[in-house]
Amino acid sequence: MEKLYPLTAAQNMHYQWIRQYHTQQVSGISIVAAIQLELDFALLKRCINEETKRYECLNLRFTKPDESGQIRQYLKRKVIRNTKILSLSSMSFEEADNVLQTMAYETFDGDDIPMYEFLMVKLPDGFNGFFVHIDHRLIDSCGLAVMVKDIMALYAHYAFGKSYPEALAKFEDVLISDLTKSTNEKRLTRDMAFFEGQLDKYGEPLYSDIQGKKVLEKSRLAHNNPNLRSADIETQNLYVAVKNYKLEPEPTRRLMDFCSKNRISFNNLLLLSMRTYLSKVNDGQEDITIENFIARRSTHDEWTSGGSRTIMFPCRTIIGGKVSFMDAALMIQNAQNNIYIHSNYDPEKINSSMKRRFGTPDGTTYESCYLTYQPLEITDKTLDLSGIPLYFKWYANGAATKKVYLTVTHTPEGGLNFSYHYQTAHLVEKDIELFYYYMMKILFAGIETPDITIGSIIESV
Amino acid sequence: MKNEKLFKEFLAQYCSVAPADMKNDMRFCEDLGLSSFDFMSLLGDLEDNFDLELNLDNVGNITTIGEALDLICMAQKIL
Repeated sequence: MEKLYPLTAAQNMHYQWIRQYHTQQVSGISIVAAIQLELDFALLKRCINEETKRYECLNLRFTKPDESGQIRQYLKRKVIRNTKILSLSSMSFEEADNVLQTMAYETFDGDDIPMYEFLMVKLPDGFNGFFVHIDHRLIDSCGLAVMVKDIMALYAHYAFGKSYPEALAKFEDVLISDLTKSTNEKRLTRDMAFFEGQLDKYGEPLYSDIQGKKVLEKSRLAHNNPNLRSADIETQNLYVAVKNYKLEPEPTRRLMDFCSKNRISFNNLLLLSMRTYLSKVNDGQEDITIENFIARRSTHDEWTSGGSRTIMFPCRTIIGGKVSFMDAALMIQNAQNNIYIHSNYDPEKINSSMKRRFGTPDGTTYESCYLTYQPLEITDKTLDLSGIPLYFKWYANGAATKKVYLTVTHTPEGGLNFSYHYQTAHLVEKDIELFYYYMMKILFAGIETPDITIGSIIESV
Repeated sequence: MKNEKLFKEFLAQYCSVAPADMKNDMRFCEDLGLSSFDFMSLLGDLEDNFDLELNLDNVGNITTIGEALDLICMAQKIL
């Protein structure tokens, strides 16, 4: 009998979304990784099988929910699954992408079943590799990047005699360590004191939306409460569209130089630009909250153990118009540093506390925008492919629990990719175009004149 | 110095520099490659593992191994 473990806070976040939105689709994550080279698919299959042993988190399964709706997890080892080949080589890249995108929408329905699917793929232009569709509770994007690198390294070892990749940390050990940390009384008391202290100090947050005040006003009418500070969440139509914007290497370098010179993390600079735009379109509202995803991987073991460690915490910013861009960046940095040290806390407890304190109605939220900044890249250089071209792509799961979810990644050329996933029930491409345009205007106005006030930026851009 | 040895061994879990090669004037970000999240996690884990309560008020000003050691010494004095 396998040992059962409760879900971690990060896994529970995804599980609660599945329950709330009634579909496992919201917890799907998919990628394709292929290189422009003839591959020995029998060998690739062997490497994928070997990876399922090396990367234990792939073997996670979940029990049937108990009477209270809670599930538990366990590792089902020594299960070799057949990995099929899918040939899309006669298609255009766009057609092949469409096929894989459709597969990324599929769900893993059932209890005690494998929660991932590998497929070996033949793509157009001589690219060959694999596609994986997996439940987010098994792995997050950093974990996937480590897995891709490991499978490629295994292949390079067997095919080209390169050195065997280093051992990966044992997922179960890191899971036990995480669960132990989450029940450490002293830590829990300190974390709770911090988050409760924030709510004592600042009171109830106030919703802000990229479509302006009208969204909150609509919810106020619907709830017959003119003082309501949270707005309704879309739960019926979760369809999401994706819009990507590329920032060229030269302006990216200017942003990074500013961060490096002033010791500001780029994540915090992004938060500042997002919240300033929200302030701009919400009549200068000073109290803005954005949900920020934190990868929570610091030690070597945390980096290589896989699993789903990414978790989101509300980043609450209360910044007046007279505060300078630089001071605002430092305020956010200070707030984020405090959150980081308390990031073992379960954010669900913050939500419950707010509900208790402020009577937040069911199905409403204080945040419309979510941010993930991924400094970890997957490129031909990071994978040590000796110049062999790489094709790598993330696929949206097609269902967003968030109105706007921005993921910022680095491009192989040294630029940045801003990927906006947005709910089409409420937003159109023009809303996203404006969001990106003003984020850039705010960022560059701020880094060029760090003493400029937030109020002046809002007026001038 | 016991603190220093223990701290450097602990820190080695977060970076690719061996404890023996760590100098007290090394900077967490520039020399050891730690992000702000890594550094704050390190402090939190130190508190848990060594039963300390660090004064985190001015933690943003700590940039080197030596400064972090001073912070730990202060916490031990309070205890």
